[in-house]
Amino acid sequence: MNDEKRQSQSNADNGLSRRDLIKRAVAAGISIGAFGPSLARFGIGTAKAAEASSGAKFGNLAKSWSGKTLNVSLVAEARSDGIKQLAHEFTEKTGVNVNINIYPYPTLQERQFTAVNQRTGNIDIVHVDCVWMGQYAGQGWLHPVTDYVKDTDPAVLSVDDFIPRVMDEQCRWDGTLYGLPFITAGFTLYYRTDIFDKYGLKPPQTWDELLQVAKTIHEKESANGVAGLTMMAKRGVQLVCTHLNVFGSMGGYYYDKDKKPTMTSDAAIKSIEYLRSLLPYCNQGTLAQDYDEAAATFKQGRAAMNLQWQNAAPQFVGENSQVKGKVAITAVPGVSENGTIKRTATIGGWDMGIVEDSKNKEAAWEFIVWATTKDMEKRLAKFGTGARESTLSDPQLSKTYIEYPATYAAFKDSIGRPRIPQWVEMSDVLAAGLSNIMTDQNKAKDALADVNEKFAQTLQG
Amino acid sequence: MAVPIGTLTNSVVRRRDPLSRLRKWLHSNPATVMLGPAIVVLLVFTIFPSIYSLALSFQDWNMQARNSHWVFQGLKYYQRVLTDPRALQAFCVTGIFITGSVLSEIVFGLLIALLLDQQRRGTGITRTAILLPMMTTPVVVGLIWRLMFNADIGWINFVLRALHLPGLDWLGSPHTALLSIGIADVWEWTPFVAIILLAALKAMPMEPTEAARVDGAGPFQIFRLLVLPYLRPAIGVCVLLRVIDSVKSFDLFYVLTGGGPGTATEVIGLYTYKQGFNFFKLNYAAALSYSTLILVVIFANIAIFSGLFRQTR
Repeated sequence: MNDEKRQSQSNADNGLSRRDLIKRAVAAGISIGAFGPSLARFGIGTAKAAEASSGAKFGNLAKSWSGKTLNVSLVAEARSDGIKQLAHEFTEKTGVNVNINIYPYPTLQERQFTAVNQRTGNIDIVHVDCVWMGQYAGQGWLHPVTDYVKDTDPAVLSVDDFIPRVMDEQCRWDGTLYGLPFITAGFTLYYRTDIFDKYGLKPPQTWDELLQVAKTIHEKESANGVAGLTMMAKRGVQLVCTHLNVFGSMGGYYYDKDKKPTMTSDAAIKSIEYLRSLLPYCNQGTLAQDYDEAAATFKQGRAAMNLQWQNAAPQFVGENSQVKGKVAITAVPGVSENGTIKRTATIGGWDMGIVEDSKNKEAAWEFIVWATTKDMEKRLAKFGTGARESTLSDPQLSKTYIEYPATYAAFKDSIGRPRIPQWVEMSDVLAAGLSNIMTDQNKAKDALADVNEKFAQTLQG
Repeated sequence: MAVPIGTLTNSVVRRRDPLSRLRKWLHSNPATVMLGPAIVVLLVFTIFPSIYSLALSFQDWNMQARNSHWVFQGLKYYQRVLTDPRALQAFCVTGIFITGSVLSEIVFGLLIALLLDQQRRGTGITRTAILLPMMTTPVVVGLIWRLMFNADIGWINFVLRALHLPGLDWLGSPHTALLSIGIADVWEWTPFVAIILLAALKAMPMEPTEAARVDGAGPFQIFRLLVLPYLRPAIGVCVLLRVIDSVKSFDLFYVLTGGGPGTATEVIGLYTYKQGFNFFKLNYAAALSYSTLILVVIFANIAIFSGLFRQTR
């Protein structure tokens, strides 16, 4: 007992005893905890001073939102996997935790719909298909980002570098911007260079040429199991997208600016009858082909041409492709008019948007900016095309990834599907009608008149 | 030491009151305790959604708008069911599908059951093998059949072409699309019928058959006059269950054709799903579902009360 007393006394004389040290450390900790926010204000103040020098609140991966967690939902495509792999870099730099959940298309639709509709704020960043923009933005589910754009470092964001057509299609609604594009897609025409060389053919520029080339190749090569053309003609979204390439170039659209349906126009009838005329030169299973089957047909060398989205390109040039090294990709054919060719490639794509009910809107915007910078687009290049002029026209990338030049062309001369909330239902009716015509169950005029009537009902009610 | 429970709990009651009250309640209400969880699950997952969707079918509710609420509409959506050409066509297609597939399943199931009944050795293996189609996940069944039906590289056309027959566009042609789905469905559910009929066969008393044989009856006569009448209730059960299940068919149709080509394979299950989960018209989808339910109930009543499947003798 006495020894201990002496020990502590001698410690007190010499300096801090262990107990004292612990006491002081705890006191210091408590005071920092209590006064922390006010101290932090100084910290942010100094950070702000630094930012004030570059003038931007967003874009420089500041630690302003450190400790927050973002819930991101993305569609199951290659680019989403790519960003998921790199997400830890964002967390390291900003201290914001990022949970990326990747879902297949229908699941994504349901999950996001439930979260935004029930206003849970469960998801901070949603992935919005361009055709859903009317629903998401129009119903007030997304937060407009106009103010955030103003506060973002322009050198990092380079908002004018995004192809305007893509921005309008994927991220704008009623003139307001609701996020940035992440995953873009456009229709292109793939063809077999070896077969084209063999018969001295050039890539078709017009729809008539496409028919001729398909016929020529089919007559000569179908005995070898190679069809002239393959496309996605199964009843569904893909058939509608395929049809729009032709429909748009012939000057048609689904409805006019007064929202009156125009499916009985000449362009409508001609375009679907054109697609039907291609069938004899396609592989037998074309009418049951969705995206995967059509890509598989071309990849296995069973067709000489493929009217397909640009994002199938990696499959065709990849390791286990049977047409590796024999594939080229070009813009979709069009209609010849006054010496020029009018093309309207169907485009689609996704917007990374901020949910209105999210509690981490600013951190979400910082992530979205980070995921779409010029540098990031270059790094994600192998996962598909981006939306920036600089990356799509970059000569180095164009050499490495064959689909870049054709996609760039597709975005320039493109057409988008309607993005109004009623479109999902209209698209289903249209798909059924087009499929009817393609399988000879109805004449084009009758089926399209029926579609027109249903469009009128849906657009009104 | 055998001590009556009553005295034991009495002596402990004073010390730990709430816990032993609970224990006593659990002991004396075994039915509630055992059935309780099941009833809760039933209420939450079956009763509540059924009542909610019934209520929905009489309302107007724009799910997509952020500030929308229910507006009573009476029978508006049921009227729409009766006048929507696509819904009516969906009912027709479903009717054709059910007739074809259930009939085939009964016939094939009966044949298989009769064969299995004759088997003496290795019954375990054959019965497990027979059950495999039924145990496979329906979506997987759909995907594999989709590959097999592929007109260019599918297995079925491969075999046909090897026999110098033309390969058909199974899923892409309106003439064969419904048939293809029917084939996949029959493949998946015939084992169900077979197993039920086999059980009935095994339970059949042998004396009438032996007596008939002694009297000189041939196998077909025995089958027609003894076996078949005996099996009528079992066949009735199979028909009822398969029809009720087929009315709800969705997975095969969704995976194989998506309702195409055109609307040749758009059954009511698929159409209801589209209305509810693609177009978010939950009210109309609820009305469609209840209309389907009404039709099934009518059918079930006719089937049971017509006496068609009552056991004779």
